[in-house]
Amino acid sequence: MLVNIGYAFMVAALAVSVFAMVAPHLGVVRNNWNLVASAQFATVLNLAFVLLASLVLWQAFLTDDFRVLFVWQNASSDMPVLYKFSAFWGGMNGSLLLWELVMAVFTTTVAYVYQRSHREILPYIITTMSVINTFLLLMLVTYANPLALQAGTPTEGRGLNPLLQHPAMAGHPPLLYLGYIGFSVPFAFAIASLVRGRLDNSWIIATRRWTLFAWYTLAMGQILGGQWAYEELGWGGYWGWDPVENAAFMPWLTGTAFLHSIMLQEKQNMMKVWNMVLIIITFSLSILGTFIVRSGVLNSVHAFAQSEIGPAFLSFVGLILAISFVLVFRRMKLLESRHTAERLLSKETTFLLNNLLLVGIAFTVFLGTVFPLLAEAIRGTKLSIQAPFFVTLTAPLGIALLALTGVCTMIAWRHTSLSFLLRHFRLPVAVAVATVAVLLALGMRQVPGLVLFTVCAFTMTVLLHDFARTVRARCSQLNIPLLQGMISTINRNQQRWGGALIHVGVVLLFIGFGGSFFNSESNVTLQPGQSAVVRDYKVLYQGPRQYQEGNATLHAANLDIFRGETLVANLLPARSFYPTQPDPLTEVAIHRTVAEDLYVVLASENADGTVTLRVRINPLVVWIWIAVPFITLGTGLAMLYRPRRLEATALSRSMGLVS
Amino acid sequence: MKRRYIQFAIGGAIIAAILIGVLYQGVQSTVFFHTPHEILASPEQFRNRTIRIGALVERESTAWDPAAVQLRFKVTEDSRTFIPVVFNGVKPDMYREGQGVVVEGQLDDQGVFQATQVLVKHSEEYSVEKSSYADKENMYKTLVNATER
Repeated sequence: MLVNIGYAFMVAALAVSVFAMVAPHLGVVRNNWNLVASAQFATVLNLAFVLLASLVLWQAFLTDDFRVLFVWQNASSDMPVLYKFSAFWGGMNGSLLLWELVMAVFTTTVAYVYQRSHREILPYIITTMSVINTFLLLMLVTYANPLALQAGTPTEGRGLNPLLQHPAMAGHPPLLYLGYIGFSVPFAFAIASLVRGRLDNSWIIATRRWTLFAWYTLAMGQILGGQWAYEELGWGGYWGWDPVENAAFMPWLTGTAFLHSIMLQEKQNMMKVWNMVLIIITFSLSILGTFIVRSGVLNSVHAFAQSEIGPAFLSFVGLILAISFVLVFRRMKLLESRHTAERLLSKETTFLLNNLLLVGIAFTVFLGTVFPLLAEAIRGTKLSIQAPFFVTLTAPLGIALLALTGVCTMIAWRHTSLSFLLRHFRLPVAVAVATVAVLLALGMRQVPGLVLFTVCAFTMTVLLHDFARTVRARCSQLNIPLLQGMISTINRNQQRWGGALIHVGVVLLFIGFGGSFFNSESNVTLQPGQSAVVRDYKVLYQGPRQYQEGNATLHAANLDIFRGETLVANLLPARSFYPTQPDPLTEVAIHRTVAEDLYVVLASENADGTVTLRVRINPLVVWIWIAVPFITLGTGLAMLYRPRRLEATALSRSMGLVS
Repeated sequence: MKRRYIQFAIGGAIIAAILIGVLYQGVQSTVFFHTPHEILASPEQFRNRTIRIGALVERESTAWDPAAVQLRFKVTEDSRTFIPVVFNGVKPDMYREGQGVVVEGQLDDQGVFQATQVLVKHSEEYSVEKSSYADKENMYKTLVNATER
């Protein structure tokens, strides 16, 4: 039977991945490259088996095979095909299979792409990645089998949680996994370099694109998750400092720190130990993130102790950390950097500060997330750490980081003179001062908001000014027109301008975040035909409307939104009743402009024919989505850049030892 | 050498600031929640400061006034002793009588709890199961993680 064959595929994948884990080491010990080559081939087999097993699961979803427990738990026959497809990762077991599928693709890719350029460390790259494959497959064939059958043959499944039936939720988990797993590549390179004692910069340079890729997908996964929360959950925000969110945020923070600090190693040969530590921590946090979200530890420490997968994941993280740090410790001598930041006013210093701030934020989030779990496990006390803890601590650090982005852009490597700085900061500081004046004149009196927008103005000006200055110099130097000058400037240093573009996106993100300082909410109860004024808007309740959408029945309030006397929107906030769900779900209605979102929730349909609406005004939210194309283009541009030293190292490496 | 000291001083200062902030905020915002029993045993002690109560919503105690957008209900552990709660806001999704809530606010001089927030465990599960609190002991644990959603 197909499902049993699918399970057999997973077992076979486990077997070949154990082989791929052991064979490369034997190859090195016996100086026999054939063993390494066979491990390379084993990664292909592993991928094939995992892919086949995944196809079996997809097939079970698409044919509504409810004998499969996981399909029964997460799908029903009335679901649209897209959600049947994405229900694959609607629960833990399928998610792990998706993890392993992506991991297998990456392992095979790495095993072949780097066979010339990194021949010497390749065996241990394969070993490291196969350890991860082996762990995941072990979970899949034991505790988390997505292809397990149940006794009866139910005719209908329980359906995917309607909250998850949203396009953003179909894309959000795979993007996060791409990010988590993407970090396994630089991690594997780091470990392999440690084992072989090849501690030059080649691992950093080779994995730069992987790191960028992982960083980008993790960022997009989180933004998509925020969008989902905003549109689907109906509490009015996009980020709640929930442990589930923090779990993905932490590796992203340390990954961002890593992305910056590897530049110090690439350009100045600094921070060798630190980079090792950062990638080890980033990858461990990725695994820990999956563990936190999936093990049930959040609901209760006891649920965690009862689940088999929780302790297994925790042990795996412990093992990774222990082995990695023993390796780092053993190679400490080789990792010593000859260079340090020599001058206080140098790019090096700003990078160090950047790392300190990012890791500081990550540490804060980590404490806030893990401390309640530890307290409950050790002392049995119930305590809760809520959003204010995170906001008051991370907001100042985040704003400092944003300011530093501007400062860092202006400062040169090695050393910058104070007078140079003062000259070039004149314009940005002037713009920042003007911004404060304008905001104060507009009546803004809230200090955090004022500081944030001022810093945004400062950093944005620095970024634009820097680009304009360089383009102007280039144009006059080559005597070319403006557009050509811009293209030529960008082409000359894709890393720099890609980074700048990402930073522009980050400033836009912060502008969007800043809007939340000015959120307002009011509740109104309206009869049909009655209207209420909320700030600049008039909300007119035309009456109830009921309609079907898919398998849900929607009870909506038909609202006309006026601004002044003009009708600007017709909104239908609703409650949707699903046949499989005891409670109705909230369907938010949003009227979006560049300045603010009018966010309306149908809070209650009352017995007397009135409706109670929760009306929020969330300023500047759209800027978070506007930031996305900037970050995307910037990442793409930065990926085009290829450090020059790579060719030289590749050449010397191709005459590696194991041949 | 002097520059290195300055660098270390700046770095050290930032780390120290973060640590102090974490500790201070940690103490501030880890609001424990109390049970109605604890509060009724010595109400003076809890009066006029922001606290949280974790309890069950008493059956048939909910009064919802749409015109005033005001929700009134009683919380209890054993259906014998109650604390009345007033909340100027709407019923959260998933609010159910007989189920657990955490309310945040202040106990006034009349012994009425003026809630600023009503938190109900919101399903962030990836599966539909576990949406009812059969197990009362576990309920308190799950409530710890309830955030306003």
